Amino acid sequence: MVMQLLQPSDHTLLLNLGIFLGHPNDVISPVLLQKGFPLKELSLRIPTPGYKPGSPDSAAVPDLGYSSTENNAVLLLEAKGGGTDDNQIERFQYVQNNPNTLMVKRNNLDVVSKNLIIDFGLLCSDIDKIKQNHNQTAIPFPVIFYDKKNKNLRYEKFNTIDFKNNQISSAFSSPLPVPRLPILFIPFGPTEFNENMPYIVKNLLMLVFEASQNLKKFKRMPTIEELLLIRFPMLRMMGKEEFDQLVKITNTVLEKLFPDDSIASRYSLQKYISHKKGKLYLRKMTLRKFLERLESALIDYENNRRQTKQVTFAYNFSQQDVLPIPEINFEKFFGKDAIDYDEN
Amino acid sequence: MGYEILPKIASRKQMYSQLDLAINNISQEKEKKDEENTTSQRKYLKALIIESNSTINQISPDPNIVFLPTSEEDIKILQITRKDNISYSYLDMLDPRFWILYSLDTSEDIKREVKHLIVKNNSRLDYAWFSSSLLQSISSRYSKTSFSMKFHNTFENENIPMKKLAIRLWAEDASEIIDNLLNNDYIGKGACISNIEIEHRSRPDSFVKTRLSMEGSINISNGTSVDEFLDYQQKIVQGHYKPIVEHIERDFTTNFSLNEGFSINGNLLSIKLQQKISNIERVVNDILKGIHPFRFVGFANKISDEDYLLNVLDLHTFSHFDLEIYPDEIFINLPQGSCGNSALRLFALCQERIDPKATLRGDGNAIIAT
Repeated sequence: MVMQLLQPSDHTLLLNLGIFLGHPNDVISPVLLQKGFPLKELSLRIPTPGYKPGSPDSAAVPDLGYSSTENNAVLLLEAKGGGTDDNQIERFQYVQNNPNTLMVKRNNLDVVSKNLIIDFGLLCSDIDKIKQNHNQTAIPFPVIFYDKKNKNLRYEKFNTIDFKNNQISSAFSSPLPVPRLPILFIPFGPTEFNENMPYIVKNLLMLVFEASQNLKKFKRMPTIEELLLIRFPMLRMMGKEEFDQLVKITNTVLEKLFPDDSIASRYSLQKYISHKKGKLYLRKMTLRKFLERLESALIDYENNRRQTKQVTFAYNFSQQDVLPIPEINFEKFFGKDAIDYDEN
Repeated sequence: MGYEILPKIASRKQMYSQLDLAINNISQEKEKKDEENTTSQRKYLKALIIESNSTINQISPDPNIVFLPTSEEDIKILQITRKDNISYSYLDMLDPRFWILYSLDTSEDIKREVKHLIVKNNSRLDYAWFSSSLLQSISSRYSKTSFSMKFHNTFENENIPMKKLAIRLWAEDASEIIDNLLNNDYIGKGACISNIEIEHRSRPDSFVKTRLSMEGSINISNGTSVDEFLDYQQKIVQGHYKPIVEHIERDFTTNFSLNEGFSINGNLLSIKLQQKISNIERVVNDILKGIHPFRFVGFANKISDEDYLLNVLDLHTFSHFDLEIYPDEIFINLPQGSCGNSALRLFALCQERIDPKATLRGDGNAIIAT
C-alpha cells in the first residue's frame, strides 16, 4: 500500500497541544479548560495600527485564544516552533494595552472591554532559542515550554514574568505530562501548505466524492474553495494569490480526472461511478485502487516539484507569473483507458 | 404442524398477530420436541436490526427480492425467491433510523440476504453493531444469561496469545462464568462476547427468550407473546443502542465555525486498547481494504512507526473521517453529520479482532458503561 510520510512541524504539534489544553479530550489533562479558560478561537485576526484587510501579515494573529466569560479574562497564546518575532510581539503588546481591539471584530471570545484582563503567552518547543532571543530583546510574556524529549509541558520563568491571571499560572504550576500529540484537528500549520500539497489534494478528492454522493436533488455542488475552507479553515491564513494557486492546482487535477464542461455538474462524480457485484468502481477501477493510484500520482508530483525547486506557490507566482500546471503523468498512474474515459 | 413461513400481511396489527403466532408456535414445538426428546431444527423467529440512512425507495435489492407494499407506509413485506420457494419477511420501519426485519427463514438464508442489502456500497444501510462491551452491559441487567465468545486475532497481534477463540456456553445462569472468563489471565485476552441469550420478563406470567448477536440479530427461541418481545426489542434498540449512536453524533462529532478566527466544536472519540498492537501497518492496510466488515477505504499517512494518520471514507454513508492510530490507542475525529454507527462498527470490530478489552471513550468517560 502506498503511504505518504507526514512530518508535522513543531508549530503544528504546538497548535494541537494548545487545542488539548482548552478542549475536552482524552489525550492530556485540559488544564486551561479546568481553570475556566476553554479554547474559543484559533488564528483570530485582531486589527492593529496599519492593519490591511486581506493581508493577514498586518494583523495580530495569535494562534490560540482562550477566554473566561465569568472572569472577563482572555489568554492568547502564540505557538513558537523556533524563535520570536519582534514585530509580532509589538502587535501583541498593543492588543494587551488596548482591550477595545478585541471588541471590534466578530469573534467567540465572549468578553467585554471594561475591566478585561488580557494575558499573552508563548507556547514554545525550542527553549534555548527563546532564551537566546530573550537575551537580545526581552520577551515581555510568560513562556510555556513543550519538552518533547521528556514528554511534558512546563512553565519556564526565566524572564520572571507571570500571567496577570493567577488561575492561568496555577494551571501550569507543575509539569503536565504529554505522552503523545495526535494531529487530528490540525494536520499541518497555517504556513505549511506547500509541504502538504498531496495531503490536501487527496483529502479534497474524498470531500468531492462525499459531497457528490450525498448531493440532494436541486442542490449545487460546493465549489473547491468552499470544500477547502470547510476542511482546512486555516487555509484562510494563506495570501490570496497562494490560495488561488492551490485552488487552481486542485481544479486541474480534478478536471483532468473528471472532465466536465458544465459548471452545474462539475465535480459531481456520479457519471464516473459504477457498481458491479456490490462493489463500487470509479473510472473503471475499484475505489481502493483509484485512491491508491491517486496517492502515487500525488507523491510523484510532490517529489517532482521538490526536485525542480518549485517549492512554494509564492515562488511559482513571482517567478513565472503564470499558474503552474501539476506535472502529474496521469496515464502512468491511471492508464490511458481510464483517462480517455468514455461512459458509452 | 410447524409454523413454517410468515404469510402476507396488510397492516401492523396483522403483523403483530402473525409474530405472536410464530412465537407461540416456537414454544409449543419446543415442548413437543422436549417431550419426544428430539433435536430437529426448529424455525426460530428472527428480528434483524438494520441501521438506515436511506428511505426504502432508495434501496435497490437483489433481483430475487421484491418489496411488497402494505396498507401502512412504514411496513413492507420482503418477498424473497430462492429457487422455486418464496418466503415473506416483514420490514418494520416505524423508526426510520433503525429498521427491524422479522423472518422465519433460516438464519443462514436471511442473513445472507441482509448482508447483500447492506454491503452494497450504495445502500447506506448497516448492521447495528453490538460490541462485546455493549452485550456485557445488556446482559448484566438480566439474572439469567447464556453466551458465546468469539475472537479472531485477524491482524496477528503478537501481544494476544491466541489466534482464535470460540466458546459457546448454555447454562441456566452463566453470568458468573462470563466474569471468570473475562478476568482470566489467558482466556481474558481473547474473551470477546459475540452473543448473549437472556430471558426477558416485563410481567411475572410472561417471558421471551432471545439471543442477541454482535451484528444486531435477535433470535427468539421461546416465549409467551409478541408483546413481551416488543418490550425487549424496544429496550435493546431504543433504550440501549440508539442513545449511544445519538450521543456520539451529538457530542463526539466535530466541526469548525469560521469568524475572524475559527473555533472547534465537538470532541474526539478514542478506543483505548489494553493490549498494544504489535503491527500497526498491517492493521492500517486491512482496515482500508474497502470490504466487509470494516467497509473503509482511504489514505494512510505515516507520521512515525507508532503513529499513523488515516483519512477514511466510509462506504456505508460515503462520509469521511480521520483516525490516528497508536499501538495502544485509536483516536477518531468524526466530522459533524457523520454516522455514529460507523464508530460503533469500528469499536465492535476492534474488540472482536484486536483487543476485547478495548474501551470506547470520549471526554474522559466510557461511552459504553459496563
